[in-house]
Amino acid sequence: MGDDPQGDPQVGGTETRTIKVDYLARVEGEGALYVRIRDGALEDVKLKIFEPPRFFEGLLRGRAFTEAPDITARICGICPVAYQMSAVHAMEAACGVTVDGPLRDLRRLFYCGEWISSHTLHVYLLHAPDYLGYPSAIEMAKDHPDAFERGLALKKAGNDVMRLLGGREIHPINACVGGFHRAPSRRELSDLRETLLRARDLARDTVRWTGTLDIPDFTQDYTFVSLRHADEYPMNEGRIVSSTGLDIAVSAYDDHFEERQVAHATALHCVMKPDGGSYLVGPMARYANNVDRLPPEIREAATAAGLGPVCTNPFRSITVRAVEVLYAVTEALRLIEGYRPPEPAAIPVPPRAGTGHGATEAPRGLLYHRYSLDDDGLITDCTIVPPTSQNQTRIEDDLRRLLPTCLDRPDDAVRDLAEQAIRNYDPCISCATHFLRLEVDRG
Amino acid sequence: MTGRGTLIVGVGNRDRGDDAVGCVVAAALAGRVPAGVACIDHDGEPLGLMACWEGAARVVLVDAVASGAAPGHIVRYDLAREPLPADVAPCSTHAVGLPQAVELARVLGRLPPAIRFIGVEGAAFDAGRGLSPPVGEAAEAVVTEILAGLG
Repeated sequence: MGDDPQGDPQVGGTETRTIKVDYLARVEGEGALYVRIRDGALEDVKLKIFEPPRFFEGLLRGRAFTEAPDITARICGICPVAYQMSAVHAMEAACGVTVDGPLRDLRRLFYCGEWISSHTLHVYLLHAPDYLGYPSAIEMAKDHPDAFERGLALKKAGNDVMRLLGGREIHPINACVGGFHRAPSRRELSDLRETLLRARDLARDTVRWTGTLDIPDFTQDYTFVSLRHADEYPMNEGRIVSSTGLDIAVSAYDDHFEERQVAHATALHCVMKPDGGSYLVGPMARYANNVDRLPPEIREAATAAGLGPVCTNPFRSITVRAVEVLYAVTEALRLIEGYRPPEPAAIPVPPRAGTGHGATEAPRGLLYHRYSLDDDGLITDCTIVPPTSQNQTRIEDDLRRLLPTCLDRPDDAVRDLAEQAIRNYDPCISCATHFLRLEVDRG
Repeated sequence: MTGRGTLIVGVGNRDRGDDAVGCVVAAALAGRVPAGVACIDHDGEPLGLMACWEGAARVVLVDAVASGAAPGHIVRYDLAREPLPADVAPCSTHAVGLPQAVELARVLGRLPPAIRFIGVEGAAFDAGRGLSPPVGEAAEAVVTEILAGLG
């Protein structure tokens, strides 16, 4: 993070100072935040994304429907499973095939690995230093080595699941339309079980530990959007619901949500139709919309850590992530317990012309894919809406409400708080299109 | 990594131009290294990086850097003795990466006994591009250097 204070000339009769921060610390990717303050009042907030879009959607046109899971997995190094899962579900929907039984369970297990890995990275390495007053994880580790050892072991458990199901940790290659290229043996999964049993204790400790952190008091009125499934906490399947009463099939996503181009960012900003309001996806939304789908012992752990049935304080999202890690470890153990290797490892999915929609719960929230295929299964059109695009408008809304409470503080303090507010959402700018700077223009 | 062997870690993103140099070096070494030496790719995420070198006696990290030097320029640091200098910034799509992993490991006592960094100055990091010619040449030189060091 660079810091380049500079004096600007008089603007409109008010003295203006500009503070530029080259990179937001401890978020995935790069980009910029522009904050304009005039006469002590907040005038404008813009989350600016300046790396050119990756044109993945264009790149996929003309490719075979079977290629989408591996190509889209390259969009993000942190949540490749989410991309693979949304892609395979959309392709199977387009082809009229449902993957069920042990293959469905394996996909869910795969997803558990990514939740454990991604959330643990954010909780310990990116987010926790904010609450304990450290500028970085390295400074925090000097005083809290036990916490980092816990985080390291927990994340490794998630990576182990991803490696086994995905064939490798980074850019997994084993998932395919119809199932997996290879299903693990019972023996391989029972080896994983020992790791996950230890991880469950670490996950419980993590939930407890986040409950001891000093959380700023800042609540917001959110529209929470997530999947909701008939009987499980959502990962791969469900209807899209909101805390304001929306309840739609995944295929109706485009009727209710809209991506808008804004001048200051190359990532599209998402809003709800018809009023153009912001909404929130991710752990807080999943939790609020699905707390009744969590096993009782996990709800008890959440309550003991200070979490109510709905969390409207984004600074408390660290505990929600910890609860979801505990759930993912517990769910992974349940899935392993009843595992029978599926035969075959993938069911046939003959291509056909049509359009398919897929939405799954990436660690950062709802990830929507839509593909249109021709008779040969070649992709003719494609839309991918990552969670961070959907949350960008909401992050700006948070900052509009949070920053006026601290404008009398020194610039460094304002900047730190703004960065922390952005980190609350674990934004993956790499997914949203990619890479983030912070500019405070103060009059 | 299990056992007390040597680990070569190519850090980077294969799809981002010269950021792929570490991965290219690791791939070129695979199959040519003696027994007890493993070669892997890694995206540089700190906790994952620390986990991958657990148990290794000797680690060589290869990554692209952007310090302003001429493309293909090679730098070498003994990380067991010193941190990476601030002006040698390994390329990363993440705000936390290899330097943080090394310093976090140092604080936690998880740094391998021998750990070296070989950096290759990149020229372009655009998505979808291959290595630029000077970086490709440097990659070959790094492969030769590592093999000689393993001999």
